[in-house]
Amino acid sequence: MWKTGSISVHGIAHIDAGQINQDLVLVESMGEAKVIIVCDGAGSAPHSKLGAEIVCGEVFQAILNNPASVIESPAKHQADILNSVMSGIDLARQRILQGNAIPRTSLKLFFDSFVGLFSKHLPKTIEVPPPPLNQFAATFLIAVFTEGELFYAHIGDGFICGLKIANKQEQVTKLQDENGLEITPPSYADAEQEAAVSIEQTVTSLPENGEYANQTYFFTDETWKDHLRAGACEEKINFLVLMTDGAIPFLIEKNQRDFVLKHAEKIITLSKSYPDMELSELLAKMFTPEKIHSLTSDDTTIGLAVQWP
Amino acid sequence: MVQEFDLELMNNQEQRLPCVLVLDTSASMHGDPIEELSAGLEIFAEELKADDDASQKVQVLIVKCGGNAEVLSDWIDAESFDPPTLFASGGTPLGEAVSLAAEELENRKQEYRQAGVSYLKPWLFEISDGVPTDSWKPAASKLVDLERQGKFTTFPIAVEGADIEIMNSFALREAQKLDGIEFKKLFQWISASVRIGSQRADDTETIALPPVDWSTV
Repeated sequence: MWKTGSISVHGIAHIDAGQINQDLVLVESMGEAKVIIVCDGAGSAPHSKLGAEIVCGEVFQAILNNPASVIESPAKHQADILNSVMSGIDLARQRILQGNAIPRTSLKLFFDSFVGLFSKHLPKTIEVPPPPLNQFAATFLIAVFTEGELFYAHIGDGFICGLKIANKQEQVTKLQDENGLEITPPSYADAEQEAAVSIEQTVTSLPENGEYANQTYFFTDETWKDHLRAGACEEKINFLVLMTDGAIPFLIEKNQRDFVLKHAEKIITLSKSYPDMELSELLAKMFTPEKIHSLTSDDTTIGLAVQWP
Repeated sequence: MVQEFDLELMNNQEQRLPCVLVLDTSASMHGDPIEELSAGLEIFAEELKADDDASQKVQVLIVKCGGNAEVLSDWIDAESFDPPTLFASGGTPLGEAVSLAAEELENRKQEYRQAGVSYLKPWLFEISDGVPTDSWKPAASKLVDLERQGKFTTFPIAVEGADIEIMNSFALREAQKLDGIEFKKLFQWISASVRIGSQRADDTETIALPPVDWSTV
């Protein structure tokens, strides 16, 4: 059974510049299936966060319009899911171009993920500023997955990877609370055991950059379909992560391809040691804003899912 | 020299902003203008060195345009950049100089790729006070084509006496006219702009440069 969670940390460069966190993450359930969407709004596109909210909401709704049999078998029905992703992106683009008001649903999805109770105080509609489309530029990463199937799609930079993890033996790792004191896990007797898992990266969706370090592709580009990459996996994985480019410097190895295994091992062992802890809380403890600010100046967002037999 | 480049890139894997300055050192710059240009270049070097981030990320190449077109100072990180001595002499082979600058930029990109160093879109500053004395039109046209292809961004700066229309034909953006010989202010602006440019973490073409206080326009 999958546990899901996310964090989104406001980049120090954007804080200093008085800019908002332009990343967005959505983690939702659709019956037996889960969905994670991660977007990174373009830094100097003034409405990129709004663009991310719109595309996130439209794609989520487009996938929901499928029968449960399609959603709950996303790899076998990858063509249907891909069509839904593309129609959702198309609809998002049309809404922006037409300057339509944003439907309440798309805002609610986002705000429910972040501010929960406050969403009821939001206005029912917000007027979308008029075109141009590129003022709403954002990257787009999505995964729709069940216990044994995965569909994923990706425009621009950021990273998606799926790991197959096999148990060798139980391991328990200690966490510290806010005061630096150890939190004792239920099975503390096992705490001193060595790392005991084998990890294989079976799903990899790399960032797509242009020639320059600061260039990438967005759902708002005219050529977005040329840069939409999608794939599916029917092999059971038990660790799935979607991240914006801010997380790449510390979650991806220098070869720019492999997930940093020590982080995977730590997340796995912690999640097993603290089965009642929400995955988002665990991520927040591992990747505090102070720690992330020391590693990258960019906004940093991680959507994560782990499951055990 | 080649070995030095490789070492610099190997030792410093920071993302780079390559920056070429094409400087008019023709005979018409003799006297105060060349002295002020040299003083401005000193300020440029000092201000970049004083910025911890930019000093590691900005790489500088100086191409002179006076008598002949020649690389006066090869690619080097701003933290190690010492301005070359400038002498005013000869004609203004601006076409040849910008072609050389464009070629050097492409070569440098190749070296970045080989070293696994990521880089930002290069900036090419072209500073001239005269009318080109070579067959500049094909070179200007090629430079604009390359800029349109996204190879670099050109900033043409016309010193007093320059033909603005000709300077405009070298770039997509219009030439800025320098007020007298305010080279110090100009280079303060260039260093401030480059510092901003080197910090960019996002993706778009637009960038808010500092206000221009050295132009008559």
